[in-house]
Amino acid sequence: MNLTLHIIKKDIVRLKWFIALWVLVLVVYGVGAYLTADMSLKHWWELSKAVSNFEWILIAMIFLIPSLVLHSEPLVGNNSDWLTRPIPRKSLLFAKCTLFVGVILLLVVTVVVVLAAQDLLFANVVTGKILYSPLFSRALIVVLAVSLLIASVTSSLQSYLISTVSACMIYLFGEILFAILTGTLHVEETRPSDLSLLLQMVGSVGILVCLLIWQFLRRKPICISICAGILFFITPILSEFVNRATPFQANEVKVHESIISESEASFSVVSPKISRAYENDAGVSTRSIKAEFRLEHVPAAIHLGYVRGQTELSQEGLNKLTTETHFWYDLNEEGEISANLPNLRFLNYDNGEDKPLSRRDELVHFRDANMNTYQGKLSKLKTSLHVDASRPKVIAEIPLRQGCVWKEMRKMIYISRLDVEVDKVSLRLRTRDVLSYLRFLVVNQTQGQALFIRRNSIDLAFPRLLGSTGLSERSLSTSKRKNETWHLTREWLKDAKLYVITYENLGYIERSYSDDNFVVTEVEDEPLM
Amino acid sequence: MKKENAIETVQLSKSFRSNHAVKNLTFAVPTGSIFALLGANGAGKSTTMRLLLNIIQPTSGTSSVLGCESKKIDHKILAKIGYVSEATELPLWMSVKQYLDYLKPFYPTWDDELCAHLIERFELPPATKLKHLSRGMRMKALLLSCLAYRPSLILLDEPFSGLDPVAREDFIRGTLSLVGQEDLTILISSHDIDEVERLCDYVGFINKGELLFSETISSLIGRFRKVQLQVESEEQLPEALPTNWLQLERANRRVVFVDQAYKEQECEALILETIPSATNISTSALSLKEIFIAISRNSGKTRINASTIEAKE
Repeated sequence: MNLTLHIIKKDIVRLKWFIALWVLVLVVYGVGAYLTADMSLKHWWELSKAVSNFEWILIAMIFLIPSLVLHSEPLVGNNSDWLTRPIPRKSLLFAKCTLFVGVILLLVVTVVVVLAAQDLLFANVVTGKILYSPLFSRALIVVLAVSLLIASVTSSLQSYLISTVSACMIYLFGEILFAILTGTLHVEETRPSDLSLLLQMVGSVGILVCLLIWQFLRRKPICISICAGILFFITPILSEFVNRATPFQANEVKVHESIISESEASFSVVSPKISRAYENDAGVSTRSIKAEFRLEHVPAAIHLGYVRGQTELSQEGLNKLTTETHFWYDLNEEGEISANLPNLRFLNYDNGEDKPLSRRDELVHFRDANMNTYQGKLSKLKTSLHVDASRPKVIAEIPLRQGCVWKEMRKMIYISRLDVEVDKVSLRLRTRDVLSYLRFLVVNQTQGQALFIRRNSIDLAFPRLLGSTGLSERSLSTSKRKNETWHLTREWLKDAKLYVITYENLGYIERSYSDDNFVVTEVEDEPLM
Repeated sequence: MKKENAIETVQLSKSFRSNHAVKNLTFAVPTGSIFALLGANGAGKSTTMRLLLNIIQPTSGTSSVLGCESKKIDHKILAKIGYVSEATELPLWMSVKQYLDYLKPFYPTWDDELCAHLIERFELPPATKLKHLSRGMRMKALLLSCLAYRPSLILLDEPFSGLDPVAREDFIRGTLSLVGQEDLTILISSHDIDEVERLCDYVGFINKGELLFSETISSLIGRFRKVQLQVESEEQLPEALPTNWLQLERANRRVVFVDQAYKEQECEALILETIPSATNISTSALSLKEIFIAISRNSGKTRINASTIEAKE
């Protein structure tokens, strides 16, 4: 034990400036978060944003901790002085682990302080702070674990940094590749095309190759690192450029007929467009058609209800294709819905040429879930919708605080991010289950006021990583009704709760994938709770 | 009572992929001796030392230090061993005093008085960080840290490399200050022959991973002689020369070579038998450095050992 303490003492002296900086960052982070507890909304918002920037520093520090602690006396390598010294291996390893845990413990203490400042229970620390944000989760789950592993087998800071970055690149590359191969890439918000994904992959591989060259050849490291840096920055830019230029973004598929059955409301389609495109294992392209609808007569019930949709492709030129799937679409207060129509397996175009879908009135071939093949024109798209808004039920009331968690049975909703602007509250929720059929409202019962959801999207860039936590993530923004004039204040938010609403007779759709079929089945009356 | 060897190796081999750094190395260093492992750069000296200390694992064969198999060396054995290598990565952020203070608790036999004495002798500034010291001073600090606990075995791997004459002298004196200690064994690898010659009792020559010979310095110097003779100006030397003649050179009538198996009684007879017209035969002793050069230059052409030597012009 004495020798262990002796080694720890030596390492603390070695890392004294780093530890001082680490403590300073944590103090600023903790105190900043604490001070924001009683501030006016404006200052609170500004300071919160400033404090949140410290997350990056925290992550960077976490990245460096294992390196500096372990490499202050490298555990591996052939030239280390300690190898020929009578330093008991157990003492050395125990000392390293103890110091590492001690440094990390400072972070945990700070997190507890930050949470306490937001009136959160200690129980929320584990489930809450670890899941604080995707970035933070990755830092803790991936970066920290990988860093520790790599730091224990690398003999120098340089090789550690290169190996860690390479490992991260490989991981991200694997994530993208896995998502593409399994068709589970959720990219509704960014709508990347195949080409942009390919570009990202090539960029990732390029960076990796540069780093490997740097590592193994050790020639002109500056030039090679500059190349890697350029690739690092230029890849997403090029990817975005390609993404925007892709023809799938500006598709002009028209919907000529639209009916809402079982409801008096009528609607028109605003901008249907191809939102996703990918190939499955069998090499068949799949296009997901995303259509935005606007209801012209909006029954009051619709604000809290759902639209049940049925899509048909059955007009001139299209022999027969009726999707048998029912979808539940979210509506906002403006009557806008954003819905993904059933995925259609796109086989080929006329003459077998792979032309962009934006070319109208072309004869195309489709194959449905039963492997029946159809041909027709994309311009003949019929969609029917009906409203089902019966018996809404509030299933959760969650205090409107960042980090608050609602858990019941296997369901969980966690407020991972809460941003307040002048007239809007932006929420980022993490959920453990499919919550496409839930509606969210921010309600202040005392004031009798509510904020409706304005926009609703799923942000799942790397489903496997988030999947490891069992959570998906959802971003929400709320806005006030137009005819309301009250002001959003911190006090208002303190009394507000997030209401999660569902419907008693609501079924949910279960999707399953087989070899090359996209099978959609509906499970009736499956309880959500 | 017969003393154990401080170091023993049996068929010790180490390969790095296709490169055989050490091949079937078998030698022993008697306890209390100072053994020099000589060889050119890349001969396998440092690899041998690392194998002895279990820093790297052998491909085959075994070795032992202080009676303990190298693979099983633990901190108790390491507490009796000092290892000084130019390749050692010192904690440069430490001052000399911090470094010594850090090491002290790990060595039960640490001698504060000796440590203070050596600091004074080496003129090391205790408060100066190692990174601010010159290369020679760092080596002295490292040596000091290996002498202060009065080790039973000291391994010096190229200790004189890059040191100026003054630093070398300090280094040797520091090492020699402990030589009087009972049973202190020193294994030194170097190609700095002059310095080694002053220190060592035994010498081993390693070339391309193979040990060519291992014997006492007096024996080695005794069997190497530089031989000079004269022949007729037009006379051709025979093609088949004795295998123990190294570095044979001819300038007009004058012929010079190194006899590595010199025996006073047989040398002249062998010369006259090989070169009947030889006259003015004279022999002179060689320094260890000259022997080293002769062997090194010859070893690239043919295999050499103490009993069989093939020489070519």
